[in-house]
Amino acid sequence: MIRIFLLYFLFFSFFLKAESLDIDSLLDSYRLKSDLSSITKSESNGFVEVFTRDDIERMQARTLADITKLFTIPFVSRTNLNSSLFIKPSQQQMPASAIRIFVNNHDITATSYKSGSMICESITLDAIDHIEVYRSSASVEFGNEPSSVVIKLYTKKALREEGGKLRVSMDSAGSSYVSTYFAETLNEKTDYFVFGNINKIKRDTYYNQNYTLSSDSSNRNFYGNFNFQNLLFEVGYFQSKSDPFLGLGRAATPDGGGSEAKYSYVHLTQKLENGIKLQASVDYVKSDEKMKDTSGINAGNFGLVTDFSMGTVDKVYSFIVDKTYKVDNNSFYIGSFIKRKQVDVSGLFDANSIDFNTYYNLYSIYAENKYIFNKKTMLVASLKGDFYRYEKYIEDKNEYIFRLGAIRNVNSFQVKMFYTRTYYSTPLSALYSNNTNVPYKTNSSLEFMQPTLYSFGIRYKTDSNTLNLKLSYIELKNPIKYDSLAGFYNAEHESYMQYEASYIYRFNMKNRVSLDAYYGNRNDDLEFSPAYGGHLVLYNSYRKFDFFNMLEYRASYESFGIDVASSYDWTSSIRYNYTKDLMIGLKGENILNKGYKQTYKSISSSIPVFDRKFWLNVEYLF
Amino acid sequence: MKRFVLLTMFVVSSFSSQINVEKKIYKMIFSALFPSNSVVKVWSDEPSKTFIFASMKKVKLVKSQNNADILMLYHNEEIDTNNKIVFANGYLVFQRKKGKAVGGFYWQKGRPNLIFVKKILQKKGIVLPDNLKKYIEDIK
Repeated sequence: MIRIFLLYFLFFSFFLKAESLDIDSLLDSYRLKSDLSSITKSESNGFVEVFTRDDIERMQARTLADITKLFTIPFVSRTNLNSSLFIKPSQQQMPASAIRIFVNNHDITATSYKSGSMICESITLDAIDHIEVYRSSASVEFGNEPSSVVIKLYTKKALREEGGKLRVSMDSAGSSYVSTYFAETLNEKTDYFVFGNINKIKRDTYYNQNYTLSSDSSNRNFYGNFNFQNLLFEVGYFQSKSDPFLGLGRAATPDGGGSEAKYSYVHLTQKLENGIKLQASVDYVKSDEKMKDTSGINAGNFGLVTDFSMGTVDKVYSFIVDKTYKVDNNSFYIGSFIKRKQVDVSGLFDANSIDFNTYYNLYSIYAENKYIFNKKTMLVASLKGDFYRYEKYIEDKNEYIFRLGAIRNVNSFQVKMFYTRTYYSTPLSALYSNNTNVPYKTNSSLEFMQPTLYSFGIRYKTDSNTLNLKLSYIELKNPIKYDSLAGFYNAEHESYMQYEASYIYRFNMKNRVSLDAYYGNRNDDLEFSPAYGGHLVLYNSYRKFDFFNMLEYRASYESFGIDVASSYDWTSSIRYNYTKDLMIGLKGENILNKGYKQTYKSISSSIPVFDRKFWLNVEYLF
Repeated sequence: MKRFVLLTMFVVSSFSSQINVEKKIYKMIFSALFPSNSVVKVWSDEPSKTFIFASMKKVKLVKSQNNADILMLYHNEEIDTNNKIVFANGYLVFQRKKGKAVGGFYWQKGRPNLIFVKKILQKKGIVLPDNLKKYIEDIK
């Protein structure tokens, strides 16, 4: 395996060093250098990693989960209900609200749904132009609710498309994926973009005590926008239906059922001449979980039940106003938002039912200043106040976010330092259940989790080389845990160190190799997941062929009494550009079938997060 | 002004390489259309692009379209082209100026496209160098 990679590396090192200077290459160079991330990326918002349109296309990525495989910290895994979860090395899963996903300016979130990070597998990328991932962020600058990791998905611009694409993919397990989009500018001030996708994903099936652990899923997505002058109207829809996988039973012996979520939103953005930006949005999320397990499903005060059925309907109304303006060497950003989040909960647990609803209002005000100290140094300060007002039985909460940062460029070096004092909001499902304590034993006096992050990073960059080193220390106050007897409670504070290093070498515009490594350590030295790992990633092009190769390594670990061996996930894509408008590709995922495995409390073996799959992919531009 | 430059320094640095490539493309277009001109006089209807032409060697940015060798158009507004060579720098402009534009450089299908129109080239008596001939299209 290592020999193959070495030969591959040597080929591109020696044969592709020289960059062609013909006109096609010049146009291609213009395309790559004009990537929209050069407009949207903000170095002061944290440690930023960009996946350009060219990267996404060469990876033949279909969903956000394909991109998250390249993350160092945190990395992606999956829950016992087959949704996505993020883990930091050595840690258990991160709170869903610690990671926020935005489609343009829209936060994919809801009242009980917690965060869009749980539906990574459902967010398809053919409508997406590029992706920015911000770490050590307080997200004040994104004018929304707090998180420490922000994933920004920017949709394609009609002005650059003027046409459409049809993409059809099939895999060796019988999965299918069809997506299409079309964009047009009607005149200089008016344009639109529409996108649709349907897919059926077949996953490997596992067995536990003669029960089938299936995680097949089907998804439908729609996104559309209409842009008139400075008014942008967006509509989004995700529908995801999944088999139960392990389900919710104590012994993971599911006997039918599954989960389904339908998420829709509309978002209106108006930019005024005076620099004020107004946004209004409505989210509607319908989520249903139906589980059957004779080993017993914990349903709070109802005890163990066999049939578990729960539905939630979330509605979120948001109104945001903000403005950026410049005075001397200062760039001020001020804003405020009001959100109403409400949830209707209904459930049937064997013969017992629940039915209640509640809501809360969130008022927020925030300000940030970027001060250019001199030609080489920028200082950043952010302050945010969030005021939670609950309808029922829950004490009002006032939370504050404070962030200081410094960025200094000296020759080829860039140094970044951030101090961030933030919090993660607690979902309503942990705070309130109409006194029934079903299906969870809630705790209305829970304190929000309050992380404090100290981050330091240094980057050395030349035309061909980029070296990044990053060190972070995190103190987490009031971590929230769940116990089937005690319910939700605030545990003792935790602390955590994480180290990251990466190196990128660019042969030319279309050929590069990168190496990264990471390590995370809890203050109690316990390990719930791999403590360290790394990636070797190669993007290459040769004549009409594009290549993408990624080898991911994660260390062995032991969790829930299960020893999990080191993992090696090799993902490889080859794309043949038959014409400028027709591409045919092959993609292998987890080719060695030695990819990362996740342990679960309810089962005595570990299960792969990603299956070994081989995809055939055809894309046609029209 | 100095302060504004400082403030935007962190943002604009990534644009410089894009602009350098854009200049190379324009230089190639001008050399192909005006092989014998020592200086090409350019008029543009997009104020934000003028600094690019003004900073190019062997290119002179002119204020009146009457004094120009080539009109670089980015907008759809009707203007008097006065039998000048017109080049369209946008998909909609190219569609609108199909009977007049000698060529176009614009985004379509997510990539930049370069096109020269056979009929207009013949009408203006322009012969493109060999390396650009594959970009000639017979557009009616």
